Amino acid sequence: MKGSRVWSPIVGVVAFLYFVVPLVATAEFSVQEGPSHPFWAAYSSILSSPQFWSSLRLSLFMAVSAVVIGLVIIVPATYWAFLRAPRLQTWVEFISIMPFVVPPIVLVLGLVHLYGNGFGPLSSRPIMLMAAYGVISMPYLFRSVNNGLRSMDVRSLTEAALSLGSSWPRVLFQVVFPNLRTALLGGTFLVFALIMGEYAMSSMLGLNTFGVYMLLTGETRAHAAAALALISLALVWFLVGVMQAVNRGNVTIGGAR
Amino acid sequence: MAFLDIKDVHRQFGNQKAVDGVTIFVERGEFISLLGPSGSGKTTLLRIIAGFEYPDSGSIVVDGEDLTRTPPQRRNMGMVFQSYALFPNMTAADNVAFGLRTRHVPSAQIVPRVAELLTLVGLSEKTGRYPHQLSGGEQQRVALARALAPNPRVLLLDEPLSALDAKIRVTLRAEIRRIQRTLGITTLYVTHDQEEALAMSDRVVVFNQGRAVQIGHPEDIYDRPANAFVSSFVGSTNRLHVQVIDAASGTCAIAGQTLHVDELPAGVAEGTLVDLWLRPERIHVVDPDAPAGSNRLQGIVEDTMFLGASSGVRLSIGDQSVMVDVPRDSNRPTPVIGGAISIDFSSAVTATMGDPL
Amino acid sequence: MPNAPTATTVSPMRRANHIWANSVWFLPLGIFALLFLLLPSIGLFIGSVTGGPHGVTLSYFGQLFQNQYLDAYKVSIELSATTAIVGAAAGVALAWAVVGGGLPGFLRPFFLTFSGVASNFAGIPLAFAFTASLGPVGLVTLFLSNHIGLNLYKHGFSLFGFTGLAITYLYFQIPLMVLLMVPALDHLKQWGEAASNLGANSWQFWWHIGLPILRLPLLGATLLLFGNSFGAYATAYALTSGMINLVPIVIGQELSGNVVFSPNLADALAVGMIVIMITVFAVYLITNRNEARWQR
Repeated sequence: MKGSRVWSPIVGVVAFLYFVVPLVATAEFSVQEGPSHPFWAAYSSILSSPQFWSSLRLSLFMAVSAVVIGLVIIVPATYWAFLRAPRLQTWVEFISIMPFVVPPIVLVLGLVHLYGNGFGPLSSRPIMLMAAYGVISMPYLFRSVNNGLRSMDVRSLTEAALSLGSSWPRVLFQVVFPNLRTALLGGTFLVFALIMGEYAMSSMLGLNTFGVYMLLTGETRAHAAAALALISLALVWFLVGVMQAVNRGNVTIGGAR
Repeated sequence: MAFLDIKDVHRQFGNQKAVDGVTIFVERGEFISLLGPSGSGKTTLLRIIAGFEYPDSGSIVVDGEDLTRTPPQRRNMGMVFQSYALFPNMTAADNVAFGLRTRHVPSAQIVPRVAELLTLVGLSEKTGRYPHQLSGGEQQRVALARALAPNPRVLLLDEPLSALDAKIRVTLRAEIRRIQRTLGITTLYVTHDQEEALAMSDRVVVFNQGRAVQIGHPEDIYDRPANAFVSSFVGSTNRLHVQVIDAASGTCAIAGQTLHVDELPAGVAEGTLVDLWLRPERIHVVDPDAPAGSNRLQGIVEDTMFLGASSGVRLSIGDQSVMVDVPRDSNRPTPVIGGAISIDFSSAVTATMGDPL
Repeated sequence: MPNAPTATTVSPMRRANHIWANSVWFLPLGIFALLFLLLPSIGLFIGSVTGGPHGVTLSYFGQLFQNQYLDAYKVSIELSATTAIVGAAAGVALAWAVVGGGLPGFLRPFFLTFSGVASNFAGIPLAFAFTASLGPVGLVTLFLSNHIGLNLYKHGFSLFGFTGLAITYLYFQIPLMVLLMVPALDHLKQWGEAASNLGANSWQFWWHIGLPILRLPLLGATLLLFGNSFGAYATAYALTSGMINLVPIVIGQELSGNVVFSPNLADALAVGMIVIMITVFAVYLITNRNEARWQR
C-alpha cells in the first residue's frame, strides 16, 4: 500500500508523543521535589515509608492467594471438561468469562450486601477481597489454561501416559502440569499485574493495598505520587514483559481500571 | 536483452543476505522454476520482482522498462500466493474480476473475460461460490484465474501447490503447465519440490544461501549438477569419497579398488580426497564375469527394498555404502543380503573437492 | 438375546460413581462461582426489587430514571462510547502503520510489548501520569502556555472533566485495540499484497476488501473497548476525586458510606450495569460467531 507509507510515519510520531510524553512528564515531576531536596528525595521517602512496604506486602499476598484460588478452581474443571466431558466445556467457559460482565465495583457491592452483615468467615473483609480477586482472575486463567490445553494435544498425552501404566495423579503432576506451565505462567503474571495496582475493590473494603496507598499518597504528596506511578509502571512492565516472554503473542484484555 | 532481466539483485534483512547478487535473464514465454530449500532467497526474489520488496541494489527490467522502483499495483504482474490470498468476501467470479475492475475495464468486457478464465481453469460451474465453499485445489485454480485475468506481462507463482495433497499436486502442475503453454505467458515458479521443478520447467534456477548456484535445463541440472549442493538437493544421489592416485589420468582408489574419472576438479594433487556424485539409477548391477565397462567395483549387499517399478539395493564398498536402483527383471535373481555384488558406472561422473556440504 | 445387553449396560452403582468422579473436578469452580459470583449477583437483583415497605417493588428501577441517575448512565455510556470509537479508530490506524509495513519492521516487537504494558497501565498511576502532563501545572500544560502561548485551562479545558477523562482512558483503550486487531491485520496483509498485485490502490483495497473483511472483528473489538471503560472506576475516581457523575462512582459513594442513600437503589444501579454489560458482551459473541464463517 503506497498510501500507508505516507501517513504511517505521521501516525507513528503522534502515537509516540501521546504515549511517551505522560511518562516523561511523570518522571520529570518525580524528581522536582524542590530546590532544597536532592532529585531522589521522592523516591527515598517512598522507599523508607513503612506503609509502602506493608501495602506492597498485602497486595503481593492477595495476588498470590488469588492466583492459587484461581488455579485450584479453573485448572481441574477446564482440564476435565476438555478431556472427558466436552458437553460441559461451554459451561466452564461461560462461568469463567462471566466476571467480564460484572464490573469490579458491582462485584464488591454484591459481596458486601450479601455477606457484610455476618456470614461467618465470609463476612471477613480480607476474605471477601481474596474471593473477589479470585473472581477477577477466572477469565484470564481460563483463557491461558484453555490455550495451553489446545496447543499441547492433551488428549494424546494423557492417553499415552495411561497406556504406559501411569496413575491419574501421575498423569496430572508429571505430564499435564509440566506441559501447561508455560501457558499458566502467562495468565498468572497478568493476574499479578492487575491485582498489584487494583484500587476500586480494596478501597471499598477498607484494606490498605498498594493501590490504596498510591491514592492516599497522591492526595498529600504530588511528587511522591509521580514517583510511585513510575515504580508501579516498572512493576507492570516487568510482569507483562515476563508474561510476553513466556507466552508469545497472546492478547490480553482488561486491567485495574 | 531478454524479456525479463533480473540483474545483480541484492537484498539483506538485518545481517542476513536473503538475495546475494542474483542475475537471471528470462526469455518471453519461458517457464522458469526457482528451486531451493526454504530460506534460500527464492521467495524474496519473487517478491522483489512483484514489487512487495525493494532490492538494496540491482534492477528488474521487463521488456526494456526498468520497474525496480515501480509500486506493485503498476507492474502488471500476476501473482499466485502460497496461501492463495483469495478475498474471502467475494465470490470466485468477483475475485477473478477484481484485477479488471481496478483497471476500470468496462463491465461488458469483464463478464466474458471472467467466464473465459474460469472455463480455462475448469471452474465454469462454480463462479458464484465463496472461497470457503471451494476445495483447496479449486481455490488454487481461482487464484490462478485471478492472476491471469488482467493479462499480466509476467506470471509469478509462489509455492502454489505446497498446501495441496500429493495426487492433486500432480494433476494441477500438469494443468498449470498446459495453461501457461496455451497463453504463452512468461512464468516464474517458486518451489522447494525438485520433482515439480524438473517436470514443469523450461529452465531451472537452483538457489542456495541467496545465490543462484546453477541455471540450466532440467536435464543439465539433473545430469550435470554444478556442485555438491545441487547434486544432493536435486534427485537422490550417492556420495563416494575416493582418493586421487594419478590426477593426469583421472585414476582414483576406493577400498583397494581403482576407478577412472574423466574430469577431476582442477588442481587436485595426488593423495587428496574427492567426492564422486552418483545417481542410483546410473549404477548398473552386472555379472562379476561380464566384460568390464568404464568402472567396475565389488561390494557386499547390505539390504534390499521393494520400490514398485524397481528394487533398491544398498551395498557396502569398504566402509562406504551405495544405493543402487535395479530395474525389476525376472531373468536376474534378486541380490541376496550378505552376498557379493558387482556394479558398473560411467567415468563421466561429477567429482568435487571433498568439501563438506 | 440373553447375553447381548449385559455387555453394554452400566450398573446404576457404576453410573453413580462415574457422576461423582466427574463432579469432583467441577466442584471447586462450581462452589466458588456460586458463592462469590452467582449468589452476590442474585442478591443484587433481589435487593433491587425488594426492601420497600410493600415487599416486591419496581420503585428502585423507577428511580434510575430520575435526573441524577439517568445522567450517570448517560455520562457513563457517552464516555465509554467515545473512548471505544476513538480508541478503535486510533488503534486500527496505529496497528496498521506497524503491521502493514508503513513503519520499520524492527519497531514491531517493541510496539507490541509496549501495548501489552500500556493496556494494563491504568487506575491510580495512570491518573497521576496525566496529572503530571495535562494537569493545571503539568508539563504539557506549562509547555503550551510558556512556549506557544496557549493556555488550555483558560480555554475551558480541564483534565478533571469528561474530555480529560476521555483523553486519559485512551491511554489504555488504544493499546488494547492494537492487541485485539493485530492478528486480524496480520491476516489482512496477504490480501493487501494480492490487491496491489491486481492493480488496486489503497482506497480500492480498503473499500472492497479491508473494511468488508474487518467489519465484524472491528465491531467486536469496539464493543470490548466499550465494556472495558464502562466498568472502570479507579482512573475516574483518582482523576476527578470522585466528582464526575459515572455509575461506578455513584455506587462507590453508597458503598463507602460517603453519601447516604438506599442500598437497594445501589443494587438497582448495579443490576443496570450488569444488564448493559451482558448486552454488549452478547452482541460481541454473536459478531464473533459470524466471523468464523469467513475466517477459517
